[in-house]
Amino acid sequence: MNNETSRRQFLTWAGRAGFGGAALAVLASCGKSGGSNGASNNVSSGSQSSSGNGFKASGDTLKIGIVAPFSGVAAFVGRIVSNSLDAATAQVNATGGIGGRKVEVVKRDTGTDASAGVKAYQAMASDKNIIGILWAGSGLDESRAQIARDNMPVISVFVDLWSAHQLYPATKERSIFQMIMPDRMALDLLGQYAKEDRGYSKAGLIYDSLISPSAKDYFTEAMAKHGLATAGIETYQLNDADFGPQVRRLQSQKGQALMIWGLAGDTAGIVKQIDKVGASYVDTPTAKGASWRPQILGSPGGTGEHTWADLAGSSAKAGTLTAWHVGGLNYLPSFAISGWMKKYLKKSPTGGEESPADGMYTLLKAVEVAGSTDRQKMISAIETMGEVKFASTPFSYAADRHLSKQMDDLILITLERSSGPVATSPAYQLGQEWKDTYTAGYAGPTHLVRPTLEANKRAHPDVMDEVLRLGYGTQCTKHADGTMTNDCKIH
Amino acid sequence: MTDLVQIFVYGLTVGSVLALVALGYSLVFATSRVVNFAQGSMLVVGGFVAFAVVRAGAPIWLALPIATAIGALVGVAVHLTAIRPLGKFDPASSVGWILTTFSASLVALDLIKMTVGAEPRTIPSLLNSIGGWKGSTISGIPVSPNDLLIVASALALMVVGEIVQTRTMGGRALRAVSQDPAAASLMGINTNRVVMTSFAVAGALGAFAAVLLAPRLFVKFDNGLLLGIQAFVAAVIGGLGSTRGAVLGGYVLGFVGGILRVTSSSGGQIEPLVIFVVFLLVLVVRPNGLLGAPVIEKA
Repeated sequence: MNNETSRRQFLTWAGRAGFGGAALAVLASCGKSGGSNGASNNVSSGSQSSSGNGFKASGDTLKIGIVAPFSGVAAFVGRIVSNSLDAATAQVNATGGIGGRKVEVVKRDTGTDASAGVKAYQAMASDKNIIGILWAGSGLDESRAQIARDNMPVISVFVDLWSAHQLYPATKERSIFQMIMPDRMALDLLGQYAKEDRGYSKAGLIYDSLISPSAKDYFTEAMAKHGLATAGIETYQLNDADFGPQVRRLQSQKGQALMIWGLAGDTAGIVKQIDKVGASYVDTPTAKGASWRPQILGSPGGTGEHTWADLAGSSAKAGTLTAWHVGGLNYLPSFAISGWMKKYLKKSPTGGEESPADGMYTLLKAVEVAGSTDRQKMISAIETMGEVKFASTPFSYAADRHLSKQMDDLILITLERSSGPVATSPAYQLGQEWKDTYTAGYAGPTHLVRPTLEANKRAHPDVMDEVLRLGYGTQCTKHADGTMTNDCKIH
Repeated sequence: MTDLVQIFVYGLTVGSVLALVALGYSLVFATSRVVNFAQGSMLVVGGFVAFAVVRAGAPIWLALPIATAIGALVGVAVHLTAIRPLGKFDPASSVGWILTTFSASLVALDLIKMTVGAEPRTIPSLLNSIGGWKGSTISGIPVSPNDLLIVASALALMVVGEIVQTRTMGGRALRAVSQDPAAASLMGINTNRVVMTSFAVAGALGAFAAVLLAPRLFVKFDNGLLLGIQAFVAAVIGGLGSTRGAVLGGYVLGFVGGILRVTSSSGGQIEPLVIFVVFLLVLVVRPNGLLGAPVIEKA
């Protein structure tokens, strides 16, 4: 369901990928040769132009540059971006384009090579027909200075700049905007949940220091903000084969919650190790008990996706939580991206497709509002055009806020099993997606409305009404008349 | 005591994982003086083939030989497409093999992506119990039957490799090609076939390792690159071309990692640094690795 963090973390990781040292130098140089060549090849064979319905580039076409990994280990990011944008451009063009002008996306491959991202940007910046860029690959950090000089409108769809205070107005690059939910917000929400909803007093952290090096800072900040004590901070690195030492130290600290930040394969390995030492989560009272049985609170990609539940198997316990955003609930019928993908591509979204499509529409709307492709006017338009709705939930930017997400947009996702709800008193029922969306036997996330329900209602009243009315993903009790109570229960 | 047990368990299991993959690098280098950069991708090929076979309804014990056989075939394909077309070359001065083996790796990965898919997968463990024993804890450190299987496999393969090399005709041919390909050829040994066989065996080893490692590392595309690099380092530390060296190198890395991680919560962060310091020290003191034989240039 939620591949977005995987993508984001992959992109962060991409710049740091490898193992360092002499052997890496050999392989990295090969990798760069291969990677760069791969990127270049992709560029020439297809600096692919895709309008989704066959329009060719022309002077009457609005061209949008896409910088994303279409090859290499992060190629799945490129597939999501392609699916999203192919469907979205097809929809825009089928409905008359923007001011009568068709839309075309120009894709450039970064692989996992930051320098390929820089080169891709340089090539696009010199193309006067490109009105703005969607950035989903590596090289954004390295290109910031030039982006500022060029005044190029850039929407970061899968790169988290905000968390590291690298997004305007914290920095001077006013033309860069961020679509993706920031890690810092996610950890803040999880800390708030641990303290206020579960009543925990201490929590630990284990994170991938290669792909999420700042997770420790965000965690520490959240712990201090919500008055939680730290019960151990441990690191691991992408693809570690054993988590025994870290889990043993965490066990000695006896945190009631454990935040896990990384990619699905590794975080699944961590909960398997926790299971092996007999410390799997049961419920809140047990988590607060004498033995170490922490509730797992994780990153979206690391604990909130179907893949994770598959990999961790029986070690993935119901009640595992992760933070996500309302717009990512792309199984909701009212979210357009799902329908466009089915209509134009005969595919279903796998998670995260809303972000590139909404990023693209931001640029198109800016042209429409500005009445021009002048970059400065477009940037001002993005800052002032107010709320926009396109692929999923409405979003907006402002002159002093270049981040599309706000705390009220965030929700919490809990892992459930289709065998039924775990025992609680009073009992709750699983959301409707178990019957309507997923296959039998599925173990994966549903969304939990109680801790964030009021905030989400403030931000997206229509969406949350739909969620409650249809019973999607709630753990609320349904009344005899079919309405859902807001007194939702969790483990 | 618990720390010692933890280091021992970590070092043995992770070291065995690396040793299994390093064996493939070492074997190919022994016969061809080429580092097969497609070796890491064998882990991906083997793992995803095993997954596909299991998904089709076959038991994991059948998936293992099928994946291993396909790994061998892919190894042969790598040799035929990435090495053989280069003709006779000196690996020390001609570096075309770096690009061709790396390219072969990318092709293999893309084929898997197109046919099986790219999502991380899980496959059943080969060994869930030994005589009813399903695992236990030693000083609080859990040990499972699959952990023992990984360690036993690495050691057994090293022993088998040694026996094959020293006591069979094929092994002697391999050593002859390794020591002097020209002389071996003059003695009637088909050097091309020996090299191709080494690629096949390396491919089979990679695929075998992938199935064995799946309970720990799952079946993932990352395994090919990241584990491949670490195993390459292990093979170089042990001495490229040496079977015992590959296993020793794996355990050196495993135990270094174990000591660092058990003694410090930031051990994982400094592990790459320490490992490459060890790597450089070994190469400075013993340029051919701990157990590698020096290459004697013939006049």
